[in-house]
Amino acid sequence: MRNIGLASSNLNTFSQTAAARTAAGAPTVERLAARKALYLAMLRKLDSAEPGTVDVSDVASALETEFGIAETMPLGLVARCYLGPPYQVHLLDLTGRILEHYDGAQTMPPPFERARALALHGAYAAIEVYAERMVCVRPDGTTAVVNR
Amino acid sequence: MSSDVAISRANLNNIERTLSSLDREQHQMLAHVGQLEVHQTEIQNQLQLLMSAFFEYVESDRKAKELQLAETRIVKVRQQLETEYGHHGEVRRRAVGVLQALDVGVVTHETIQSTSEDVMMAAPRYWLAPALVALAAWIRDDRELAQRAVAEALRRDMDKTSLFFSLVLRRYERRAGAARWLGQFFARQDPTALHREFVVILDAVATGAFGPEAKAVTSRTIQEWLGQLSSQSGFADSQRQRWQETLESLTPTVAPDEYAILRACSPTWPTMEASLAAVRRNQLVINHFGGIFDGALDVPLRLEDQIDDLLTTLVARFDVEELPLRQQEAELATIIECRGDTQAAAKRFSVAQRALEEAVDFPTLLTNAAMHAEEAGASRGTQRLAVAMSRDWILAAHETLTAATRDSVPGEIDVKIGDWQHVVGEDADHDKIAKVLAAYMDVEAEKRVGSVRFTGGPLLAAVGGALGLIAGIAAASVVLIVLAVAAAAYAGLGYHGLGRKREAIRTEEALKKKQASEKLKGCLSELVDYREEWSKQDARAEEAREMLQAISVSQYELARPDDARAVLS
Repeated sequence: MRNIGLASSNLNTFSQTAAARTAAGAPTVERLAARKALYLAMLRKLDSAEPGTVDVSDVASALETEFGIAETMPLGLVARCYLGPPYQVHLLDLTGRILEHYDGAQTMPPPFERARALALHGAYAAIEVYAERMVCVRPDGTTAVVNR
Repeated sequence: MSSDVAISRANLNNIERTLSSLDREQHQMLAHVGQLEVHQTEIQNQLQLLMSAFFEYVESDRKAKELQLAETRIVKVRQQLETEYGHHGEVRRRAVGVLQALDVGVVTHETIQSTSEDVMMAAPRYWLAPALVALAAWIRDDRELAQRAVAEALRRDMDKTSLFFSLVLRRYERRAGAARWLGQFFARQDPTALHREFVVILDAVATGAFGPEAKAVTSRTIQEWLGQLSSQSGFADSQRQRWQETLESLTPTVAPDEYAILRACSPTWPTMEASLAAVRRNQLVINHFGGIFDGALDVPLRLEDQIDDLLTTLVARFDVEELPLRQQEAELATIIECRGDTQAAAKRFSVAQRALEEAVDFPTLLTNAAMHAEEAGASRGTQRLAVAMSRDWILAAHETLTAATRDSVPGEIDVKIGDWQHVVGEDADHDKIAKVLAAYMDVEAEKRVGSVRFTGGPLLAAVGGALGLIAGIAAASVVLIVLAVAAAAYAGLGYHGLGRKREAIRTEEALKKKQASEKLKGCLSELVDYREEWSKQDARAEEAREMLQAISVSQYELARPDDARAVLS
């Protein structure tokens, strides 16, 4: 597991908002419209993120642009890792503001492990994990929802 | 001592012979018991096979009976349709016949008038009868009669009458009049509750039967409706959900003889089977939509022929009175299609039934035209247009189903052979697993062999014999000594027999190990085949996606060449 702590005041504030918006009673409208270019560019950068190369303000502004105020935020994003073996997937945990890489033997925390198979499939740029659902995002931005 | 009694050798020989014979019989019994165990296993397996074959037979017999019943009943329903509504067919034929006779000019106006008045009496309540009278009156230029007849036809069924006259006027190139009748038709339509005859409008747009004016009215109205419906919250979701159910109805079944070993050995099989059936659906989706767009559309060259086809559809396919019988007919036809499988037929029909409902919303009308063209009365051209208009919803449903299928395939498979269970991961080393099974079987064999011990009767006999011998010598009792010797001989034979018992167990366990190992090999080999097939079928999801993405509405709204020239001039 490789941790990349994303410490920035922007992301701190943002992840507090994210935590509030994923808590019980938060809005439960997942955004299913196609993802925008800024967000997709952020996902591509995360694909091969080495420590120190992740621009945290990119992440924060992409997320803010993508998700409107009435829309539920994902708990995190799981995607295939292109750093090479032994790493398989990486997880951008939005509530803990951590980017972690995992190999085949390591298990991600409970809500996220379920997304591993879909992330590894290769057809999706990232899997957004919510409390009750997952939203698969293709490289062109189109989405598909999977109930958990 | 004089009181010593000479021990008779002959008695001991007898005892020895008897004991040897006992030993032989014991070994034979052991061998028989071993054989019995093998036979018992064989009988159990055969009984299983017999039970499966029996249940399969019962099921196929039931299906054959249901099929026969459906075939008999459908004939009765069709006869009933002909008997009760056959006279409507007469009116329909005359409506198109009148138009064609006028084209050729071989029938007098009086004949046409008399015919139309005949049908007025033969078909009470039927809207087409006064419409035909109005048509005949219009041809004769009898305005007053035409107006009265039109009013009566409108009273009986305003929508079909408006559509009928729109098409008739279009047939005679009275474009402005046709557009006005169409406008009147649209003004009365509620996009959340359209009658089934609306599919004729789609047909006309798809085949270019409408002139530019009427087509403009239609396209504008449809765009407004779609805009209104899309602005409702949850609309896109409900369309996606509806198309998901529709696409799911295409899911095939996995045949009971496929992946037989995997099916028998894996508790995970039910999940694997469902996932395989879902992924095989991709090919069926490609076949269904590919079939709709394959080949040229057969559009009649002459406008009159094209309108006559539409008129025939309008007057023949959408009678409300006939609807219950048409629904019964469709249900029985579905049972026949499913070869007597009433459960599969009920599932398929519950989706197709929507195409026979009297009033549906516009998106449902599009779904019905796209997926159940026969029941909805939609031509091939209309199917194409309906699919093109629903494309975004179909794509969203297909994407959702694809993602769900990819999520559902089990990564780890449980394998169970006898009491041995193992979890097989995606990149598992099959040779290693075989070794684990072999080691397990060896341990179990050794346990069984180890349980064969010098115990029970022979042990007691040995102890008793020793004690008896001591007592006999001490008491100089020949009887005791003889008994002690006999007991010792029995104990000796028992001990000697242990080796053979263990050998028999080892042979049996070796056979079991071989069978288990072959079963495991077959199971893992089928697992490899399963994963390969699954990946291949999953790749088709991308093909289906590309095919659907390439569809656009404008490709399927045809224009007649004569209309294009009229617009330019």
